[in-house]
Amino acid sequence: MLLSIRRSVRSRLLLALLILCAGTITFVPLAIRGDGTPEGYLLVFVRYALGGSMALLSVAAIWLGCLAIDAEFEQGSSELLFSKPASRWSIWMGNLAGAAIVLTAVMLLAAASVYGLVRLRIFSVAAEPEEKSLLRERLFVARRIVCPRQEDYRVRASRLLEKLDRNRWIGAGMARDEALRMLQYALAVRDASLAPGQSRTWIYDLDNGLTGDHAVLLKFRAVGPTHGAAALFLDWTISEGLSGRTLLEKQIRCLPGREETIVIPAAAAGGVRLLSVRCTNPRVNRTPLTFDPARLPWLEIYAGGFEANYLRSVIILCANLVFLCSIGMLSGCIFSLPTAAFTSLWWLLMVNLAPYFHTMAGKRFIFYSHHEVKSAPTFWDNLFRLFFSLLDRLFYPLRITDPLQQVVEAHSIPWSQVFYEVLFKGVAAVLVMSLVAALILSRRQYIRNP
Amino acid sequence: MNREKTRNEAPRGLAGRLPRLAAGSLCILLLVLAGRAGQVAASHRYRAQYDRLPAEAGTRPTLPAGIRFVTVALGGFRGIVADALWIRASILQEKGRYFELVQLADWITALEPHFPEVWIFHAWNLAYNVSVLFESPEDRWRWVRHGIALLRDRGIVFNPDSPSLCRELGWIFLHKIGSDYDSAHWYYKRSWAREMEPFFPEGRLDYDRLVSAPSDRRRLLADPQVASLVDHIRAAGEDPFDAAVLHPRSRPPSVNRLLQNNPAAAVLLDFIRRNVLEHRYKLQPDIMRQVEEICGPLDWRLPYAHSAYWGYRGAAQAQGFEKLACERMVYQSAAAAFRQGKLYYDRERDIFILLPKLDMFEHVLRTYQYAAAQLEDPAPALEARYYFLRMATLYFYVYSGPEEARRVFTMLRSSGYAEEVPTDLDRFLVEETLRTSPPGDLKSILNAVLYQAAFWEALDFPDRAQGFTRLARLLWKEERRRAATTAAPSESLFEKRLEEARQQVRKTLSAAVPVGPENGL
Repeated sequence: MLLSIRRSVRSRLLLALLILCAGTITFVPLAIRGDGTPEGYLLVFVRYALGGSMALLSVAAIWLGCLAIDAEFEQGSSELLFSKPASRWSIWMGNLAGAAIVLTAVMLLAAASVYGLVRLRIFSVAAEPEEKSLLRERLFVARRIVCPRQEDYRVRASRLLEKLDRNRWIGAGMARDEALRMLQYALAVRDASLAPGQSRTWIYDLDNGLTGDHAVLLKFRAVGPTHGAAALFLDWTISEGLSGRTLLEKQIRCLPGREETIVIPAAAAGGVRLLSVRCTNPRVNRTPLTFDPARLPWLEIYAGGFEANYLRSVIILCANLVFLCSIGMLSGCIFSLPTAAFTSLWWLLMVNLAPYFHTMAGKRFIFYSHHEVKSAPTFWDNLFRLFFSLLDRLFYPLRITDPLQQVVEAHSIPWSQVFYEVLFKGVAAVLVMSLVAALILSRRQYIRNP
Repeated sequence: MNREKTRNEAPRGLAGRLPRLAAGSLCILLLVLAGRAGQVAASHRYRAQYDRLPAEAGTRPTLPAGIRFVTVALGGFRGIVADALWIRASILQEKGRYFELVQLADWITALEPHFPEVWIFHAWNLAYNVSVLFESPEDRWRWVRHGIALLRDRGIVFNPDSPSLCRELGWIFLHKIGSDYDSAHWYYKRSWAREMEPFFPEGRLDYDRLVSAPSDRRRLLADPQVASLVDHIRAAGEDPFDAAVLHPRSRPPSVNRLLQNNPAAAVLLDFIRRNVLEHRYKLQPDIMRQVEEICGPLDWRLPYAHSAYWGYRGAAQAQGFEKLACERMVYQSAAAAFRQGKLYYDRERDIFILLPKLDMFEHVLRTYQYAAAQLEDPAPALEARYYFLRMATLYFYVYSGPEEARRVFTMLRSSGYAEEVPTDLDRFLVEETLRTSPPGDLKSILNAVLYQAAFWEALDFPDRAQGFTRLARLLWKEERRRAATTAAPSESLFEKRLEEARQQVRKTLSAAVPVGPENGL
């Protein structure tokens, strides 16, 4: 392993990586344009300076991985290396560890530089002290999302289904599961909709209670018949518990389709463990409103500082780099360099497409027609769904997550996510790949033909 | 022995086949090259036809090094990267995360710098779709400006011979800022006027003077008096070429003192004005003059002058439908300037009012004639002229008087659409008022006109109040005619309704919202 690290450090690749990352971090601020606000500028800077470095390091990780084993065969050093009394597994792991340490070191250096630059940029983009403190408050936080209690619509839907005359209301050809699913969705939409004059209440469980040091954000996005054009009014009442003291009463003017925020002052929110939010659609709107049932009004609660969140995101990025490097190394064990690099990049593409496979695997109908309403999936629907399900099973657990997006949106990255990424990708997947690689290496001929 | 033989024979055989192989390879190479040349020529013809590649590649401006590097370095992956950025932009917009959109639009357009539709889409998206999702006029204006900047500062610079980009930019000025479809339109107009005021203090410029101003610093500083003034301003710790120097309000006091009674000040200010207009706003003085020669005297603090300018620039390069669209923009801008092209802007009292500019009438007519002469099929321009004359008759009746209105009405009757125009002026005025008013019954339209009369009376604009009263009287007679009232129209009844409108205006003005940007006024 030490030899491997030494080789990696001495190689020109490290120097090239450092130069490229430094170039990215230096030139991104010159190339980026925010939305015209200091906040937007800094968010774009964090997103693209570190994101650009990660993109470079991802390709470098694959390349480094492919090169690590393949170079031994190409240079003829495999004869010497594999004739030593060391297991194939330990050789593979040693190579991986060397590359991983180098990549992680570069990543940490890039992350530290970006963080330092962000701290410095705040002073250059924000002129007034109030603006600076506001920026710190908005940018340098991490909030966790709390969703309201959700009813399980399965029971209600099945009861409703029994009551309904299926032949008349649902259609004779529709399967029971499909009818149940549709009813569940219809009930969820009905519960998320407000006719003029109607109210809805959502309950939020705040396990440890609110500390009262930081304001709580209530965010929502209402959808109306017009998009963005005409403003609508919504009356909000936020109370403690089910019928406790009122924390805030406010009428909000909102634009349909736009995410709106209500700030619940820190002083009012202190000590609250259960929050109820009541929303009324006043008659003045003269139009019904609805919220996306999958995105009902949610709370964003202070969950720590930016630094801890940023660190967690960097750990995830490092775990992804190790994972990519091991994919490259595994490919390098099987193929020679160009083929190995191509195979690894194909793998990278697949894991990036994993969310798409996941979506497609969850669809009931793959093929739609505007002229025909299907009551049941066809043979081709089932076949393609099976295909996407297989791809989903294979690639979804390995998907490359984007923790930087969470950081710039000030959403807290839970430690559970970090552990999952590190244990699953950085350890478990790597171990599996190392075993496969050891098996392949033990069967691969390493002495050249005379 | 055998091996030796084979070795000796093999080259001989190969050598024997070599000329044939070489000739065959050459033929294949020539065929491939010919095919490729034909393909490239066809591709260039196709692209030239669709205006994506100018006939002379040498006229294309040099792209910035960064964009050239990206487009060349990415090679075939450029499309994939562009697609990925498009998808990301769509997802972020859907999620309501806007801060990255300008950046993404910037990069997507950099990947496709010579594809006008890409610039047009992103500029439109920022100026129209994203802006309306913000409530405050300041935020909206910021996004409209992003759309303008994308086209003006980059799209048109990289594609100077693309008329569609000029047309789109003109459309943002004419429709987004100039019309009243956006609830924040007053804020846009006001902000734009505020931005333009230092360059056009009275709305217009002396173009001869501007064109004769030095075009670069070397020529400017050749004048010893100017050089001395510049040195003095620098010694005072200010930038002598900053646009803030133009306006007495934004000028630092030290610079103000230096400029006072200094004969070189005018030269320096003209130089700054010309440079900022040319480089920041991409307004060429000679083209501005040409636009005014066609459209008449325009107020450049208002968006209509700018939409006419960009329409004119687009029309100069356009063919076919694009030319029609650009010409249409020029005469629509001129007609809009006739309707509300006179700016009454009182900074002290914070009053911003747009008034009709009746003296532009002849110029606007000339604009239609110019457009008709430019187009292969003059029918759209002539039809637009007819509708303009209809509108102008009504405007002259209200803002000038029946005599002028009658003169324009005569022109309207002889414009080739006589069968669509009533012979009686009063009848026409009623019809035209009803046609151009927002949907509503005659009573509500009459009330609105009475309200206008009372409003202008309260603001001490007697001529305008009189004009609206005249129109209201016509509508009132029509109302009585429709009600089949046999009794003779009583003046006292009309006065009673006017008085009601006056009371309403008094009530509104007493509870008026203070004028200011926070109210979009």
